[in-house]
Parts: sequence; structure tokens; C-alpha cells
Amino acid sequence: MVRVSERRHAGIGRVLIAVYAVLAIGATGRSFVQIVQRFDEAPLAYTLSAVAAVVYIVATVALAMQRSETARRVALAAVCFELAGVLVVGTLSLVAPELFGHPSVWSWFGIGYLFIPAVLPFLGLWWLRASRERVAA
Amino acid sequence: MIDWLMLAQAIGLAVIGFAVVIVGLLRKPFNDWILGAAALTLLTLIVQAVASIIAPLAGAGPTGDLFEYWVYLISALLIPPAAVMWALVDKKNEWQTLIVGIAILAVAVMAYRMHQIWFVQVA
Repeated sequence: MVRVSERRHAGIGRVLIAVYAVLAIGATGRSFVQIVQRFDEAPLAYTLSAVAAVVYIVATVALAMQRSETARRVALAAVCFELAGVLVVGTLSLVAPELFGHPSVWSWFGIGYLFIPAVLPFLGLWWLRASRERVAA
Repeated sequence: MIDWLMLAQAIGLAVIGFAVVIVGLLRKPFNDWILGAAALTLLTLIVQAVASIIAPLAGAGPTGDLFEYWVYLISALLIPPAAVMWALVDKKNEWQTLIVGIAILAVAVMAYRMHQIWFVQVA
């Protein structure tokens, strides 16, 4: 476990929240366009796209509200869901492109977003764990 | 719309974004230069928005989807003010510079996508 100072820990948290916010905006915009314009092309992929967008919004808000225990739990759930999402959808977009081979945050492990969606959940989990240890200590 | 200008915007914003990220990683507090960088970013987007309204009227519409383009543009317009507002609310925190840098980089990526939608993509 990397030990960082209190100040730095809070700072990294802010940066994490900012990156989550940007992804939330990106995913929301994209899924909005997809659903409005061509939902019938790939209902499953585009529904997942919208779900991903909602999860990013939830994660952003929950990370920002760190001080409450409930928010921490919600953040953990959202980040875990994200990790599962990017791994499952990333794999499915390679294995079953006819169903999932449509651009979304999670397709091809987030290639359209510089693979940030694949890296972010790990950072989120590390940060949440580090904050819990801080609270416990 | 002008092809090279839009590309230059994306590349220029990426350079500015990287510069601000580096300054942010050096833990320099938010200052007028950073504010200026964010303001410049927003200004290029406003110019782009005006051009995007006029160009289709003059018969030079995008090769891609205009609706998708505007979703990108409006999202991009929201990002620099949001980052700056957060920085101003919490001026003591030196991490805010890094956040503004990330915001500018995000706008640069979106500007590149908008360039693609307008000039490259055939819908």
C-alpha cells in the first residue's frame, strides 16, 4: 500500500473526481446521441452505454461526498460495477461484436477514451481503500 | 468551417493542457496564467460555436452528424467554466491547477472528435 500524506490524499481524490466528472459528461452525451438517433441498431449496447453513464455520475457524486459512510459504500459499489462493466463489455465487444461492437465507454476496454475507463476503477478502489484505512487509523 | 484551423485548435489545446498538467504536477497553485489558459480554451470554443452556427447556413455543413457535433460542443463549453469555478471556490488547494489541466486536455480530445465529425466522418 502506498502511503501518502493527508493533503496529497485529498488532492488525488479531487483529481479523481474531476476525471470521473469528465467521463460522466462524455458517456452521458454519447449515450444520449446513440439512444435518440439509432437505438434500434444495437439496443443492448446502447442501453449499457446509458447504464455506464449513470454509473459514472453516481461514482462522481459519491466520491465527492466521501465523508458520509453511505456515500463511501455507494462509491465502492459504483467503482466495482465499473470495473466489472469494462472487463465484461470489453471482452464481449471482442467476442460478440455483433451485439457489443458499438462504440461506448466500455467497448474494447475503453479504447475510445484512451483506456482511461479501464484504469480508473483501479485508482478508485485504491483511493477508497486508502481513505478507509485513514478513517480506521 | 476551416479544416486546418479546427485541427490547430485541437492540437493547440492539447499543448496548453499538457503544459498546465505539468505545472499542476509541480504543485503550483492556481493563478492568473492558469485562469488565462482556461479562458483561452473557452474562447476558442465560443468562436467555434459561432462558426458552427454560421457555416451550415452558408451551405458548408458537417460530413458527420450535426446533432452529435452539438452534444460534443455544448459538453465541451461546460468543462472549462466548471473547472475554473471549482478552482476559485477552493483556491488554497494546489491540486486545482492539475484539474484545470485535465479539463483542457479533455476539451482538446473533444475538439479533435468534433473535427472528425465535421470533416472526416461520413455518416
